[in-house]
Amino acid sequence: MMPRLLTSLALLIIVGTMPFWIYIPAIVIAVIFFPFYFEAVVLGFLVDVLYGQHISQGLSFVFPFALFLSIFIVVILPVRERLRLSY
Amino acid sequence: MISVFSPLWKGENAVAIGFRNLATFFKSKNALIEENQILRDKLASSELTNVSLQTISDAENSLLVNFGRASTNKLIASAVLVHPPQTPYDSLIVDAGAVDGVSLDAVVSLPEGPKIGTVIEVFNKSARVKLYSSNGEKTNAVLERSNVPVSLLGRGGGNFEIALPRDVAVEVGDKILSGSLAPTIIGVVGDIEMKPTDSFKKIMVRSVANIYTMRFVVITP
Repeated sequence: MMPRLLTSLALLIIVGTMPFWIYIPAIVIAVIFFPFYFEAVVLGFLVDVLYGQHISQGLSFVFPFALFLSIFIVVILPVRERLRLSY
Repeated sequence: MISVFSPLWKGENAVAIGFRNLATFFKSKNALIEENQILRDKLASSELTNVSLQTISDAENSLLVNFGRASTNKLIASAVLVHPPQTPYDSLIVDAGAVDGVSLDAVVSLPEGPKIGTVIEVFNKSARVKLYSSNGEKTNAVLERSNVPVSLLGRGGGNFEIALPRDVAVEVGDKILSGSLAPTIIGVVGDIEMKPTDSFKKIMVRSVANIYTMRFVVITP
């Protein structure tokens, strides 16, 4: 539980300070590494809220990265079962 | 959410400036003297250019005043809190907001003049800016060489694309100006792609602003 929490905190700081080509792969790697890493959706939502565009348009497609991560978490579940990972 | 992260971004900028000054401290005396001389020469040259451009600008302004189209000189200076590559899309977050008089759709430009984008969201003490080079963003502009109106299509990363009939004369290095009464440069033609069978040519334009190192912008409310 502790590594997962620490990773989430580290990713939160990375999202706030680092370039996208660091935080996006880092979140994707965390999703692969931890089982059902739903915190990634919150981080994706944060990225969309902080850096996204058209956030004020109610019905438009406003959270693309959060949606991508939601789908990725579900898709990666059966793949993870076939991989040998520590957590 | 932006207001929660703003102190972090402001602190980050302060740390970056501190490190830049630290690097200067360790430079050798000779290198500093040499750099100083180069900068003095550049400054003198820039001042001369500035004076000559100011004369032209004054003449243009007086002409516009005579025709009742004087431009409003109210500008809001603002520091850039976040710029690409921290933002995955071509957008900025600046530290001026509704309190400072920033309004929606206000034009954002570099302190030197080139227009770079518009305000798409205003918060109390900050605002979000969408750059003209954002993917899919269309901007009206003029190709300086032949005065042809063009539609710049943003391609991200400070790049644009234009489709023009093959007979229109364009060369690498041509300037693209904003389509306003007082035009400013938006970009420079970087590459031209055309196959012998095409009736249109694809022109790649790069923004004059380096969106990856931007520190200050000016907002026209």
